[in-house]
Amino acid sequence: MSEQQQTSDDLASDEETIIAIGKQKISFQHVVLLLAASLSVIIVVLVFIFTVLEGYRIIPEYGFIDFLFGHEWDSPHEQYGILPMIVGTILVVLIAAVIAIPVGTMAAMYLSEIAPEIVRKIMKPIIEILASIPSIIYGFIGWRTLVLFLQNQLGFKSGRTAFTAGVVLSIMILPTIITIADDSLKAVPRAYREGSFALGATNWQTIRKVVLPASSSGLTAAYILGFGRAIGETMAVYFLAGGGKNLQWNIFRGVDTLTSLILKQLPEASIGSVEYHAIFGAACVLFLITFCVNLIGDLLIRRFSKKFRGASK
Amino acid sequence: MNIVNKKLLAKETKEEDIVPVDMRALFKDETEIIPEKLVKKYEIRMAVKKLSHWYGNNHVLSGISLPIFKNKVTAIIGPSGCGKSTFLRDLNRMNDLIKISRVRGKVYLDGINIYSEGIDLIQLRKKIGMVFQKPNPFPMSIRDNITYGPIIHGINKAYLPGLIKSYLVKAALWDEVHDRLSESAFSLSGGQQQRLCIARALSIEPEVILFDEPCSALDPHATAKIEDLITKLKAEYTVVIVTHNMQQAARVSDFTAFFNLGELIEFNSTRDLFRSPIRKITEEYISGRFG
Ligand SMILES: Nc1ncnc2c1ncn2[C@@H]1O[C@H](COP(=O)(O)OP(=O)(O)OP(=O)(O)O)[C@@H](O)[C@H]1O
Ligand SMILES: [Mg+2]
Repeated sequence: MSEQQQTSDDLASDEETIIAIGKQKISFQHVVLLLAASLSVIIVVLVFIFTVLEGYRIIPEYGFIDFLFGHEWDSPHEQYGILPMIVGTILVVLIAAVIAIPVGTMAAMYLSEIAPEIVRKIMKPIIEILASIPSIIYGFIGWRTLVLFLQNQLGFKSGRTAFTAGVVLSIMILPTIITIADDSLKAVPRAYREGSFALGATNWQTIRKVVLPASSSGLTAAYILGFGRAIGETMAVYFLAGGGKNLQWNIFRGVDTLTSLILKQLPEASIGSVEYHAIFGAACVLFLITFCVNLIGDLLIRRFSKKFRGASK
Repeated sequence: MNIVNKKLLAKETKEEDIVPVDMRALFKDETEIIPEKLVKKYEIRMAVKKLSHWYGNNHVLSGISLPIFKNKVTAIIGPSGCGKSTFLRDLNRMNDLIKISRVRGKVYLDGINIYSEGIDLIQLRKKIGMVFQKPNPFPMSIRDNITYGPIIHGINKAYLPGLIKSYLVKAALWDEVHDRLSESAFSLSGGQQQRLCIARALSIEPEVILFDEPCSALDPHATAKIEDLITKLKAEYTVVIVTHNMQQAARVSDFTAFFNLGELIEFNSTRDLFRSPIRKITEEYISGRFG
């Protein structure tokens, strides 16, 4: 039968045959592996649905504007405004960023551009270990050092402040920032550095004027992922930020963050109450923020690697 | 500016102690490979004397002696892996960046050994510019690529606009880019990028320019443009070019050095080397029978 004579039905059945050849019998093992792989996806989706289903009810029950922009969280008086916690989160995260970004960038510059190979080989794993220390330990050490220092040496009434939490948080996000920033500096092609040296530039000029700008989107990604970690951090912040359910901007006073609010209030709220829904509403806001931050970080990393693939054509 | 930096000298050495040597005399005992009449006839800008290079234990260059004549184009040819790039990068000490590099021997620029103490690498590389095999413009605008060198060397910024034009004109790129100087250098074609790199190399006013296979990533049309440019450059600059391409060496160079397995096999004026090679292996290589 020549090709011209085939009817469309013949073609379709031919297609089916070809697919069938490539098909493999689905074995029992495949199913087990598939389930294992799906588990995490399913859980994420379920968590998300659960949080949103519980959280959205705060809107009809309390009002969207009152909830998001209310200046006070006061359970006995049924006040559930989360603006103080949004501001608290911003304060703590900003303090952490102001410290961790310059320190992390400089550390990455040292590791990637200046450190001898042996120093780098020793320091990188240590920095990665820093990331695996449980956050309660940071909280505890932050309390033992910074909180008591503020109280005993500087005469603060309470050493648990937005500042304290921000400082400790900055140390916690340093590994993330250093590791990703170092990777992005290392990814800058050697040809750029050689081009710069061949023009008589010093090492420092090369780092500052060629390597850093060339890795700017990678560096931004490092900062943003550090941000993401800081926003989601709970235990250390719960331990160190003190708490304050009224809106205020002073970094040397106690604040609550979205995470510490959830941790504190959830055990007290009766299931199905307005407060319970308000807590889940706060979780939704937190979800949204971290999701956006991570998304932006991912996009930047992708743009960054594409830039160099494009450049090395 | 002098390539010797007083601050880098040991205490007991004075700048006056570093006296330029007579570079012609260096080749008196090298007449077997370096034709005497060339050394007598042309002015020498750089002189390489018994240069050996190792990467770790890998002996890549052994005992190379070679004059580089002023305002001429010297081509380095030879099979892949014979050490051409290594040799070229030894001339402006780019190999200092490779930690496992070791060299023995001397490389003179105007009679001063660039491997002696007190050499200021910044001034050295400012005098000896380099263009790489793959175009490597910085990820910046076309304009910033040209101004990078002058700015790091502290030029008065008022001069910059004029300089940008003059170097792009010299690199035969001005007509194509004058209305898009703010665009990214990556928006240029490969050949344009390479000419931008040449303009960038010119921007620091070097006296010697090293080219490492500058056309190997380019099409014939772009190659012709760059070759044309190189022949023009020798009026003002001393040029050394590594190339795989025999026709290219014949077209652009005045002198040719043939390397094989890390040794200098033959050196002569390009015309004589291609017309009547002395060594059999040279003849085989230039006629394409090996390599
Ligand atoms: N950075 C380096 N580290 C270690 N070995 C190197 C390095 N660069 C070059 N080599 C080795 O030195 C030898 C000479 O290399 P070189 O690049 O100088 O050759 P080449 O003549 O330029 O070759 P090609 O024509 O392929 O560019 C090769 O054996 C190479 O493996
Ligand atoms: Mg090479």
